[in-house]
Amino acid sequence: MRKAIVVAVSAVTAVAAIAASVATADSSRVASPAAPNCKLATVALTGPYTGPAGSAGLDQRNWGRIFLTNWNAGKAIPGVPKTLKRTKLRAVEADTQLNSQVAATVAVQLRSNKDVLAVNGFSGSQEEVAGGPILRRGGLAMVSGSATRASLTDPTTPDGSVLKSGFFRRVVPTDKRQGLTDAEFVLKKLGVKSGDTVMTVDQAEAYSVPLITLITQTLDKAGVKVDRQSQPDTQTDFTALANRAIAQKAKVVVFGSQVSSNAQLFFQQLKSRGYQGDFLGTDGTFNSSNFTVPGAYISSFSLDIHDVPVAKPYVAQFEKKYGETISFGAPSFVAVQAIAMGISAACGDGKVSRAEVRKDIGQVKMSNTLLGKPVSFDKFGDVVGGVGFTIFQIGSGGQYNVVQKG
Amino acid sequence: MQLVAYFQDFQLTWSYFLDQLVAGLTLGSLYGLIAIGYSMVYGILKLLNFAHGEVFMIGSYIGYFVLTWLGGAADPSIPVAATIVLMFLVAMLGAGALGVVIERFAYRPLREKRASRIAPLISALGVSFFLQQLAVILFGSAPKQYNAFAFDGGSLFTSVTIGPFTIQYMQLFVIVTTLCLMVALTIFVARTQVGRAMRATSFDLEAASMMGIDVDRVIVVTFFIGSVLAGAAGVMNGLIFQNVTPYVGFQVGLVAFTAAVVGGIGSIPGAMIGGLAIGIGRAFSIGYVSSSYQDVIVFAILIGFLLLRPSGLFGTPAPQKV
Repeated sequence: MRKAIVVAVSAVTAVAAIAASVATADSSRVASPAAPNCKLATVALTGPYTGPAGSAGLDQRNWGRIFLTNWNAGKAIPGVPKTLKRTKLRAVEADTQLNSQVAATVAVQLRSNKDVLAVNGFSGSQEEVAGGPILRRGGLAMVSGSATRASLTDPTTPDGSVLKSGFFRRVVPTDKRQGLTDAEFVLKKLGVKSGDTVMTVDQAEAYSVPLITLITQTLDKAGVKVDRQSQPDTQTDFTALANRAIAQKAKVVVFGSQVSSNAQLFFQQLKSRGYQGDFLGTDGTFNSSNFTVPGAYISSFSLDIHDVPVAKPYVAQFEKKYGETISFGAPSFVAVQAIAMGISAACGDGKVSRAEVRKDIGQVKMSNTLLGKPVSFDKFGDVVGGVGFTIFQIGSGGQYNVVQKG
Repeated sequence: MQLVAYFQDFQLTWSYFLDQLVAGLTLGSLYGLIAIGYSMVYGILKLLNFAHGEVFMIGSYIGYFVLTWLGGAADPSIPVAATIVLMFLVAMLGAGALGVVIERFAYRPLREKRASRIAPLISALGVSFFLQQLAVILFGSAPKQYNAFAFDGGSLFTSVTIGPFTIQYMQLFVIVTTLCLMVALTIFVARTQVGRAMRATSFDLEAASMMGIDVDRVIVVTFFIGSVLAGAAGVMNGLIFQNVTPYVGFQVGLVAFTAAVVGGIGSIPGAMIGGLAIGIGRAFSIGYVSSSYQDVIVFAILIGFLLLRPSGLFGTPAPQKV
C-alpha cells in the first residue's frame, strides 16, 4: 500500500513539475546574461499570455512573432525602407498575466538580462505603471501596442512622472481620445440627450476605471443622467446590473472591460431581459471571436485588421500559423517594428547600447504601417498627430462593421 | 423619510425588488451548492478543502466539452433536454471522481501519517493551484463559452410569470435543480445507512471507527457527494453565466467557503442558506446601493453577523475543555 502511495505521489509530483515548467517556460527563457550585440540583438515581447485576457495577449505575442519572422527573413514590411540594414533579432517572451505584480517581476528579470535592448510592452496600463519604472531604471526603451491610459505619456501626472519622457512610447491612441470619441458617439450618433439615462460600468481595474470616468464626466457635462457602476472582472453575474439598467430605462450602457467574454455575457443578459437600448464596449472588449452579440457597438484603436489592404498578406500568414486573429494584437506588430528599426539604426556603427536604442526608437519614422497609417513619435511618446478610434457595430453574423471611422 | 428620498423611483417598485431577489436567489443557489461540499468535508475531517473550487471549475469544463461534443448549443445532435441531462450526468460523475482522487492522493496519505492539521490545508491549496494551472495548459486561458443563449433559439432565456415573480426559465431551472439536489441530499443523509455513517463520523470520527464504521469509505463518499454537487453547480454556472475559465473556481470557491462559514460550517442547510444570503446580499447591494460597494456591504454584514454568532447560523459552538 505504501509503495502504491509513493508511486502515486511521485507521479503527481512529476506531472506538477512538468506543468509548472511548461507554464513558466516563456518567462524562464528570459535570463541569459551576455553583452548585447548587433549580429543577433535581443528584444523582449511581453503580454498577458495567461489569465482572463490571455486571448488578447497571445494575439499580441503572435503578431510580434510574425513581425520578427518577416524581419529576419528580409521580407518587405510596410514602413521599412529597402535601404535599411536590418539587425537580426531574437525574442525573449514573458507572460505578465495582466497583473501589476507579475509585470514588476518580469521587469526585474528583463532589466537584469543584459542581452535585452528594448521591450515590447507592457500590454496593460496598470502593468506599465508597475513595471515601467523598473525598466526605466535599467535604461530600457518600451513600446506598447495596447497601453492606452492617457497619463502614461503626460509628465505632469504621477504615472508620467515615474515613466519619464523618452523611455515609454506607444503606437496606439490614448484613452483621452477614446473617452471623447465614445462619449461623442453616444451623444451624437446614439441620440442621447440631456436628461436621458446612461449606465457606465467599469471592471474595477486600472484600465477601465479612468476610461469610464472620462466618459462619465463628458456625458455628465452634457446633462446626461449617468449611473456609474463598477463590477470586478472576475465576477460574471451581470443580472443585477442588467435589472438596474432596464428599470431605470438606460438608453445606453457603456462597458469598459478588458475581458471580451464579459461584454458578451453582459449584453446577452441585458437583451434577454428585454433591454431595448444600445450597448457600447470599449477597446478592451474588441474580440470578434468572443464578443459577437449583434447590435453591440465597440470602439477600437485599430481597424479590423482584415480590412486593411496592406495587412492582407500578413493576416494570411498569421492565420495560417496561429489561427484567426482578433485584431487586438496587430498594433504589437508595429510596436516591435519601431523597436527593430531603432535597434538597426543604433547598430549603424556596429555597436549598440540600451541608451542608443532608446534614442533611435524616438526618431523612427514609418511612412506606412500594418495598420494602414504612418507612425512616428512625439517627444512624449505618443504617435504624432494622434490616432483615431474607430467605432464598429456587430452584424447579424457576428462580423464587425465600421460605423464611424477614426 | 430621508432613506426613501435616497432611492430613485424605479428602486421603490415591487417588481424591481422581486427581479433583484430572483437574481440573488439564482446566484446564491450556485454558491450554496458549492458551499455544501466545503461544509460536508469540514464536518467530517475538520479540513478546509480549498481545492473544492477547482472541482467546480473542472465540472464546468466537463459540461462544456460534453456540449461541444454533442454539437454545441445552437445545433445539438440530440434533443436539448437530453443534452442538458447528459452534461449534468457526465460533469457530476467526472467531478465526483476528481473529488475521490483528490482525497485519495492529497489528503488520505497525510491522515494516515497523522500529519498536523496545517499539512492538509497546504496540500489543499497546492491541489487548487495545480488544477488551475493544469486547466490553463490543457484548455487554454481564454474563456470557453457555453453559448447557452443559443439553446432552442433562446427560449430558455425567455421569462415566465409565476405569481408576483417574473423569472427566466434558466433561472427557474437553476433554483429548482438546486432545490431538488438539496432535498435528495437531505434524504440521503437522514435516511440511508451511509448517511447515518456520515453523521456518526461527523460526530466523532474515532468513536465511529471503533463502532465498526469504515470511516475511509465514509470519507470517500463525502468527497464524492460534495464534488458531484460542485460539478452540477459548474454546469449550471456555465449555462447561466456562459463562460468557464481556469480561474473561475478560486473566486467562486472563496465566496462559497464564506457561505459555508456563515451558515455554520459542517451544516448542510446552513451552507445553502449562507449561499443564498450572500447571493441575495450581492444582488440587493447592486440594485439599491451600487455595484462598486457590493462586496464591502455584503462582507461587512457577514462580519457583523459572525461577531454576534461566531459559530454561524446553524453551527454549534465548540465545547470548551475546562
